[in-house]
Amino acid sequence: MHQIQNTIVRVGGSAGTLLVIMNYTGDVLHFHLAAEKARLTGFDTSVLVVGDDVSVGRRKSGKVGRRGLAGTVLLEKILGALSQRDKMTLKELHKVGEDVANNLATVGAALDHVHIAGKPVTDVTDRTNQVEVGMGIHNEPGCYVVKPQPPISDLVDQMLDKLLDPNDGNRAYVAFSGDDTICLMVNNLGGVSNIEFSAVTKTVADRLGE
Amino acid sequence: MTSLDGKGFSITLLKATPAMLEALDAPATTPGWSITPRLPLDGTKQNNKTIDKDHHAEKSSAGTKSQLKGKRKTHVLSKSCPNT
Repeated sequence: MHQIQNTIVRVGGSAGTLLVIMNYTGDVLHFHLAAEKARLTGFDTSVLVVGDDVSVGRRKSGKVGRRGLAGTVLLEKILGALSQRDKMTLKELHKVGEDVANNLATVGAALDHVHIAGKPVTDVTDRTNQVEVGMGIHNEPGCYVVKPQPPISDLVDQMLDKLLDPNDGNRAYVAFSGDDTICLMVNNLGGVSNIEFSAVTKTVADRLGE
Repeated sequence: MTSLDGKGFSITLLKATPAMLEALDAPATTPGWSITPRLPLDGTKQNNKTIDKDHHAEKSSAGTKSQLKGKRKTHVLSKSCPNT
């Protein structure tokens, strides 16, 4: 929390500071506490929590809400540009951020857990020949596992369904229609080779277009 | 947006307004995402994408290269951002 407060003091502007965070319990707690403390010492601070994940679904996510994923980056870029270009109050910027967040949908898939470099691996689960759709960025469970590992176009189709299907009562967080302009971002979670990631990106763009 | 050595990828869709798209294309020189308006040699103004070694930006803005498939216009960004 000290880190957050120190950052607010060092880089926060005169118009106030907006903390854009992803929806994870620890972050939500610490950033709200730090914002509260900052406000008490005269720094106008606001917190925007982003949750763009669609994989877990309403039933399972309940009050916790949607996890924050890569869509946060698009939101940060948009708000960064607007705050530089336009004269906006902190409140106005926060509202724009909410609007962007409500139009974001993200779904991930991973072959295995992530590992902290240098730390011995204690996880003994065999995840060969499978893909977990919706696996969290801190190794949280996703919505399901596909075994054996499917062809990439099948996997992408399943993921696009999670994003786009208007009849999925458990999801359908954003209503996309054929007339909408959509920004597509494909994100490498860190361990996919460049060549494979290029192939994934092409597949996604192709399947989305169909 | 990476997560350590995550062996996976994510797909993000943003239902975008023209204002959002314009903001996404705003010039920036951040390491993970740079967009530098460049003046081509013949003097015509063109807003271009910059290919960074850490990511591929498959979109550019005014002079927007977008994929028009069916009724949908899609701006495509593919990135591997060094920040978490």
